[in-house]
Amino acid sequence: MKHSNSSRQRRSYATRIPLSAGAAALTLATGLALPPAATAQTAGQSDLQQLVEKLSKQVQELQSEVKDLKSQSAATAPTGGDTAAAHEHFPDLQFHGFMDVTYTDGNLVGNKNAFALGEMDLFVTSRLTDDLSMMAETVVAAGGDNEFTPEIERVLLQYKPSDYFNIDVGRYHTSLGFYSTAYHHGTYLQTATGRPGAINFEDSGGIFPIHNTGISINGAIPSGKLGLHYIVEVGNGRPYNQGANSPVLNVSDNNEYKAVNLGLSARPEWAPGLQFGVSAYHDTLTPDPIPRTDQQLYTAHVVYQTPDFEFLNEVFLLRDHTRGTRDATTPFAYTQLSKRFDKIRPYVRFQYLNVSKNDQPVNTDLINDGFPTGLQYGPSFGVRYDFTTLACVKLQYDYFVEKVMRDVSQVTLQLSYTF
Amino acid sequence: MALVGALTLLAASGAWAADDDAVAIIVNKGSSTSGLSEDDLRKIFKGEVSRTPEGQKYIVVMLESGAERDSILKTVYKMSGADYDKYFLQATFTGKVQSAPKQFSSAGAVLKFVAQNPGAIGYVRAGDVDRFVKQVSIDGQNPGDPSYKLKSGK
Repeated sequence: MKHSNSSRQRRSYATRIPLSAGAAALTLATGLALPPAATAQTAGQSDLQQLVEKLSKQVQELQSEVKDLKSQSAATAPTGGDTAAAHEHFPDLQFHGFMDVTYTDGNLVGNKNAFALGEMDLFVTSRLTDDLSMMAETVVAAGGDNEFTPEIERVLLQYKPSDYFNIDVGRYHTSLGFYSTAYHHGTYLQTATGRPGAINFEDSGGIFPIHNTGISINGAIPSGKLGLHYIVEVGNGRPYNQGANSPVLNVSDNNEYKAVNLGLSARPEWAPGLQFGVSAYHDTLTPDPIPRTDQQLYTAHVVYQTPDFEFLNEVFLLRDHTRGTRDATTPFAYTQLSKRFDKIRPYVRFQYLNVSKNDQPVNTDLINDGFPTGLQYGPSFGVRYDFTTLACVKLQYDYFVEKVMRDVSQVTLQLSYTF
Repeated sequence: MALVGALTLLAASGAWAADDDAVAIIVNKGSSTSGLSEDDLRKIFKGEVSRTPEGQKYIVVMLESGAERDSILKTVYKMSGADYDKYFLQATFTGKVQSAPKQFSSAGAVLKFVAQNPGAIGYVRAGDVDRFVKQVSIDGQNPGDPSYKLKSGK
């Protein structure tokens, strides 16, 4: 048998193996110790890396070109409907409205059950300059005689040169606590079907000077995270006992005294949604034929309000001193709790009012207008359903104990919307 | 090395995607504002702070729709779109603000308005920021930084 050359090579290789085993082992150990990339580095892989870097640079250059093209396009060819919007234009008129329709069934004398049109609240704002704007709230509503009457409820020229000093001139809602400044006419923004009784408007049984004509100065107080705000108001005040005349002094004052209101509130940053504050109001009333009356009104509020939850608490203390009579002190308080579950928001409110029998201006006004006096208190239960973002329906049950008149039990269904 | 190259390319692509995902707050080039805290940004957008420390009136600009608007509503306003509308309706109604933020339909329009109006402050996708506006850091972070919170979540 003839052996192949490979056999002789294998025999010769086999002869050499023992001599190079150490060298081979050393080579293998060195290969294992080195990083895989270093050991696997070849000319081809280096070329690939350079290609990746080159591509990366090209992509970045393309991105930069796209940015420049976009900005040039924006500068030279305004987009569609935003053509005229490159700068602000004055006046910048904005218009909103609020309206509601109500069905009520209860035991109120003369109003057993009825559909009722609420106030059509036409709200206009217009920016005149960077610092100057106006707002007007005109309400058209039907009175007890079913006739519609328009009335300017608020009209203000507002000058806002800084966050610390704003001045409003015209007819405003007196900054008495929280509800009067947060909610105006129009029921859509309110959770419940209406305002708490005592802070209702003057022609709806309210006993406080909700409207005023004069000057309101307000702003932030540098106070760090406490978020203090102040308000100072001077106006004509409320006349009381004017019979058929307007309950708001729009163009003249019935005496030489001015109503002054001071308020302080805090919105701490460490509790978003929390607000608390106090206010003090003073006026001198001359509601002829009632003697001169010095009126003070103190309020305090603690509210917590977020889009999903609200807990409102306010206390009012009205002190009227009519010359020749005893001081009259009328307390009013309410608490309101509500929580939103998707589109449904159940709520509950409890309110307490005890009109002092010694308060001649207030009692005369209430009696003349057919509203109850004396002690009144009771709960309201309701649910609000926001079936769209601009409209809602509310169902509310009220029960009020009234010591002077009969207790009130009433169900209200309200459709409320904004436009 | 082919695997290493591919991985490098993928990583780079990932980094670009992170920038593209970020929502940049922009102001006029002439504005002295270069950085804001998240709280300050919220106060400005809600109208609670209406002027810069130098007295320049802020003009807040919003996009009408899109992922960037959703990010601002969620992160800055902490409100849904419906709550945002109601908030500014009430704020205008009470006189807290003079008007709601301006709204534009495109990032180009936002960029143009901010570029041409001192005091304007708005937002666009980070990748759309051009040289005519200034990007503002939030809590010391810029788009692309790991802790930057304003992302559109695309």
